[in-house]
Amino acid sequence: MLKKFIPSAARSPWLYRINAGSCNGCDVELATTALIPRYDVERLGCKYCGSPKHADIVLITGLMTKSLYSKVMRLYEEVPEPKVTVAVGICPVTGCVYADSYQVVGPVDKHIPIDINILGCPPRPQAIIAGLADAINLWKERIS
Amino acid sequence: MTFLTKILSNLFKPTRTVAYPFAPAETPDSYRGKVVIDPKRCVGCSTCAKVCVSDAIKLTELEEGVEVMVWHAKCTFCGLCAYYCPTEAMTMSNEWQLSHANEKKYAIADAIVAGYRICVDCKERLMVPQEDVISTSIIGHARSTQNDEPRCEQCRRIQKARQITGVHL
Repeated sequence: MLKKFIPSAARSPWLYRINAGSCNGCDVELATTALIPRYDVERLGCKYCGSPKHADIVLITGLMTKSLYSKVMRLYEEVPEPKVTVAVGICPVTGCVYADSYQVVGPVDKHIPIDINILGCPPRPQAIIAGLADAINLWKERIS
Repeated sequence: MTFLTKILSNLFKPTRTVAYPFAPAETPDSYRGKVVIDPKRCVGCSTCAKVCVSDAIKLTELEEGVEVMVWHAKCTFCGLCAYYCPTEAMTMSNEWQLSHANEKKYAIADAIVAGYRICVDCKERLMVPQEDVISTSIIGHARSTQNDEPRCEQCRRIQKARQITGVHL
């Protein structure tokens, strides 16, 4: 019965955004990608959702600060399996210019298994869409 | 009434959405994308590594030259290296498609070797660019003869003395 719904679920992954201490630049670009008709991420079947329990693809921005670590981990664990994790911007990938700060607990992939990296500081909307297209392909593989 | 005419006219206008993943995207010429280094112009002076805000550039001394490596996963695309590069070896390209699988994170780097050249007289290694870029960028035209016969400072002085005095030491 459930297997019948897999093709339609694979066509429309829902996105959830976790801000792990970002400067808001990447979040603005994510909002641009979603809301502005020029870039329109919903063409690919994606939709932002408000609850981690509904999410399929997790977008992480920011470099994982010490104070947000426990909250981010809790949110991430609430996202049901299977899930695809995408690091947006260079902060979650390497730590950007804040890499050696006392308040940063390392790049995000030290704590969370990340699948796709989107580089840029911040990445341009087209780059986010390109990375999301990769993530959607991965999501289709994982769910079937 | 105006909004009705607006809606009607919008019906016949082409779509505003960029077709990107299904068609090539346009990039402005002045876009600051991936850093590209020209190994012929680079002299390994380490200015780029000093000004880099996120320590994405690393210089390593090798036997045949200085290796300059840029880790794009750490680059903020600020353009400071391209701005301060004295020989204009560093440029920001238009390339922005850098998304990749996380396993390839450490492979998203480019390295070039700014090669040493050998002094024609004393066979010492010295760092001069392959093309005549320093004099062209500073005084506007090519001046030195370092391109065909690279010489170290000492040998250049001796050669100059020979030219002026006509005495072969």
